[in-house]
Amino acid sequence: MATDSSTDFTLDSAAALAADERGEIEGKSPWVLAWRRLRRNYVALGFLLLFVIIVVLCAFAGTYASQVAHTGPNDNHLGETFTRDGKQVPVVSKGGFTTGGGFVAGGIPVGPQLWHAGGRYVFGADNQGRDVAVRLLYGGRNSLKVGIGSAIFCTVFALLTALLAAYYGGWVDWLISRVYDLIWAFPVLLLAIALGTALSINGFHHLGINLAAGSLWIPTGVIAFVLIPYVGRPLRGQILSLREKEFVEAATAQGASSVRVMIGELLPNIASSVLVLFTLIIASNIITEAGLSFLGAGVQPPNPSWGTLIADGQSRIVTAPWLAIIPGIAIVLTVLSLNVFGDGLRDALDPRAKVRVER
Amino acid sequence: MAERLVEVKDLKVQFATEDGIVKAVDGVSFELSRGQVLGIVGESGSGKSVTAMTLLGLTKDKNTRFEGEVLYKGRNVLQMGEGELQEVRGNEMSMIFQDPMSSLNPVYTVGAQIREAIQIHERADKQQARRRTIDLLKQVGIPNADSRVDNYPHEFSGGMRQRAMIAMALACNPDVLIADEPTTALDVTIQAQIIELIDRL
Amino acid sequence: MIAFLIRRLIGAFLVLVAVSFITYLIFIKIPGGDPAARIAGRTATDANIADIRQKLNLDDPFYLQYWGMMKSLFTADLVSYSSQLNVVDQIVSGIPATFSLCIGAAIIWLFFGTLVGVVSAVYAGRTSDRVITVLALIGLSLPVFWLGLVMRYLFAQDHPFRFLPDGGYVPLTTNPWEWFTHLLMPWGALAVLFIGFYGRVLRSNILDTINEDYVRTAKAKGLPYRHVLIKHVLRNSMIPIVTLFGLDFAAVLGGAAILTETVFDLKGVGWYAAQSVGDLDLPPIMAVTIYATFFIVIFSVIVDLLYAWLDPRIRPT
Repeated sequence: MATDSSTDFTLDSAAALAADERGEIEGKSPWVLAWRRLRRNYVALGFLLLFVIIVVLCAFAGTYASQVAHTGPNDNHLGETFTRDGKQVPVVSKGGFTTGGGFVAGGIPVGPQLWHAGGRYVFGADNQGRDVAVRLLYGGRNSLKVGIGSAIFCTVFALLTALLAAYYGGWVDWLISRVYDLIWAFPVLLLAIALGTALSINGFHHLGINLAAGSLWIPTGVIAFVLIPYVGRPLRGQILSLREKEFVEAATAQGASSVRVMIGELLPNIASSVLVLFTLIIASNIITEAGLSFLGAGVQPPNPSWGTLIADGQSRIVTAPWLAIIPGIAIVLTVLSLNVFGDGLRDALDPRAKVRVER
Repeated sequence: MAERLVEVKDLKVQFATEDGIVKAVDGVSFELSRGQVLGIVGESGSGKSVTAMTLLGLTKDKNTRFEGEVLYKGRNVLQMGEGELQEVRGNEMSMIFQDPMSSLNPVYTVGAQIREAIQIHERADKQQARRRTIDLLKQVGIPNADSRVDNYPHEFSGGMRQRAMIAMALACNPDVLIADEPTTALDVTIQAQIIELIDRL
Repeated sequence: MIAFLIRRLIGAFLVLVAVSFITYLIFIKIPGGDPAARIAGRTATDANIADIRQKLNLDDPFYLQYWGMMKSLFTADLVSYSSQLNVVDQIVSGIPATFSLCIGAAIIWLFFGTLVGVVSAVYAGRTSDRVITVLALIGLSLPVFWLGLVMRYLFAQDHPFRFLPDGGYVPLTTNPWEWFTHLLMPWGALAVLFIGFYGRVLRSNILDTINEDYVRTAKAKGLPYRHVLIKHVLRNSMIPIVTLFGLDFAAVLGGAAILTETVFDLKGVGWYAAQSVGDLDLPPIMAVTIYATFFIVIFSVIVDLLYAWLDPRIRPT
C-alpha cells in the first residue's frame, strides 16, 4: 500500500484494512508456526514414522522371539534342522559330499528364509545357529538404548555446562571451556575406544558408582562424555550471543534471579537448536556405538548390538554376507530416518524458511 | 523540458508466502525527470523499499508477481532479461541501501568493492579503476582516501561506510540514483552530513 | 602475532601433557585390579607377574611411572608390552598407509563435497537438489566400517565382477598402480561420509549467504551472476568449510580413520592404535594418543590463523 500522494491513513483504517484481508489478526507463536511448517513436510514425517516403527519393533523383540521365531537371541541351534516348504533343512550346513558327487562346505549357516520357514530364520542364521532376525531386534534394542541414552546424557550435560559457562562468564567459563578443550583434543574415537575397553575389563567402581563390566551404561556414558564438547561449544556460542540481547537485560532489570534468567529467557531461545541437535546426536551416537561395538569396545558379548552383529559377520562376508549386511541396513535406516527428520525439524524451526516457499 | 528518465505506471508487486499473498505494492505511479529529486514517503511496511528495489529488478523471483510498468528511458524494467538488467544496474541506475555495514562484503576491502563495478562496466584495468576509486572517495569526503581505499568495511565508521556506499553507487556515473533510507542506520549528526552530501552531488 | 603463536604453542604443549597424563590414568587406574596381571595375560604365573612389576617399575608411585614412560617415548626407546616391538618404529611404519589414505580421501571429499554443496544450493528446491540431498543424507547415515565391508563384498570378492584387490596396503614406492587400486575402496568409504556432511553444510551456508545484504548490493551493481556467486557468495560460504576441513583432516591424519584401516586391513597408525587398545597395551596407546593429539592441536592453530586470514574481521586471539 505505497503511495506518494497524501491520503488520510489513520492507524485505525490501516488496521481495519489488514483485518479485512486476513480475517482476525492472530498472534502466532514461533512454535505454532514451526509446527505448521513441519506438518506439511511429508517426507520428514514419513521418516519419523519409520524411526518410530523401528523403535517399536525392537521394543517388542521379546514378543517376536517367542511368538514368531520361537527362539531366543542367544539360543544355539547348531546341529538342528528346521522345516522349509515341507523339507528338513539344517540350520548350519554339515559339509561333506552330496550324493550327486558335489562338495558342500560345512559350517555355513542358512540364509534368509523370509517367510518360507514359518517365521523362523527370517533373516537367516549365524554360524552358531542363532536366529539373525531375533538377534537383530535384541541388538537393536541395545543399540537404541545406548544411542538414545547417550544422546540424552550428552545433551543435558552439554546444555548445563554451556548455560553456566555462557551466563556466568569469568572463571566458570574459563574452566568449562578448558574442560571442553581437553575432551575435544582427544581423538574422539580413540578416547571412546580407550574408555570403552578400559571399563569393559572390570567395570566402573569409583565415586560410589558400581557398574559391571558388561553393563550397557558403560558405552552409554563413554559416548555421552566424549561428545559433550561437540554439543556444548556451539550451544555456548549461541547463548553468549543471546546474553547480550535486550530481553535478558530487561528480565534482570525486573529482578529475575540468575536461575530465572537462565531457565526463563535463555533456555526457550535455544530450545529449537537443542531439539535439532538432540535428534542429530542420537543418529550420530548410534553410528558411534556401532563402531565401538564393532571394535569390541562398546557393547560386550553376549549382549548383541548392531555393531557386534556386523563384527560377527565380518569374517563370513563371502559365505554368509547377510550376517554383516543386514544389521548395517538396520543402522542405515534408523540413522537416515533420524537425519531426515532432524533436517525437516531444523527447516521448520528456522525462521529464515525463505527457500522453502512453494508455489 | 527535461528528459523523463523513470516512469512508474500503476505498479503492483505481490509475493506468495506460506501465509498467503502479500500485496507489498498496490498501485504506485510516479515519474522522475533528469535533474529532479523525488522523495517517496510512507509508513514503515508500506512498500517503499520494495518499490525502490523493483526499479532495479531486484525483486524478481519465482514467487513474485508484477503488474503495471516500470519504464526506464522507455524500456520496461519488468520485462528485461538478466543481461539487460545487469547493463542497467550500477551503470545507469544505481542504489544506496539502508544499512552500510551489512551491505558491504566484510571480506573484501572497500576499494575492491568500488572498483568491481568500474572494472566490469567500463572494462577498465585495475590501475585505472583504483585511481577512479580514490577520486570517488575524495569526492564523498573521506579523508586519507589513498590509504583508506585498502581498508575493510569494519574499519570504517558508520558515516564513512555510507559515504563509501555512495561512492560505490556513483562509480559508473549513473543517470539515476536511488537511495533507500540511507540515513536510518546512522546517528542524527551524521545523517545531516550525508543528506548534505547527496544534495551536493 | 608472535605473541599469539607463542601463547598457542605453549597451550598446545600443556594440552599434550594433560592428554597423555589422562590417557595414562585411564589405563592404569580405572580398570582397577592389577595392571601387571592384566598385562601378563590369562595364563600368567605369579613369577611372570612379579617379573613384570619389576621391569615396568609398577611399584613406583604413578607419577614416576608416567614420567618414565614419557621419557622413553621421547627417546624412542619405548617398547610395547605385548609385542616387545619399539613403539615409535611401529608408528613410523604405519604413517605411509595412514597418510596415503587420509590425503587421498581428503582431496576427494573436499572436491566432491564442495561440488555437491554448490550444485544443491544453486538448484535449491528443485528435483536435482532433493535427489542430491537424499543421497547426501544416506551418505551421512552409512557406518563407514559397514560400507567398507559392503564394498569389499561387491567389488573384491570372487564374483564375476571382481576388479579391485581386497584390502591391504602396497607402498607407493613398491608399485604405484597397486598402491592406487588398493586405496580406491578405502578412499571411497572414508570420503562418502564427509562428502555428505560437507555438502549439507556448504549448501546451508550458501543459502544463508545468498540472502545477505551484500549479495544484494553486488547484484545491484550490475555484476554478472556468476561473478556474484563465486566472488561474493562462495567466497564467504567456504570460510566455515575450510576451518571444518582443517580439523577433520587433522583428526584422520592422527588416526581417526581407525575403522577404515581395520576393515580394509591397512596397517596404518589407526589400525595400530586399535590393536593396542584391544590388547590394553599401554605404551603404544600413549604414543598414538600423543601423536594424534599433536595433529589436532597443531591444526587448531593453523585453522585459527587461516580463519583470521580469510575473514578480516577476526584477529587471532
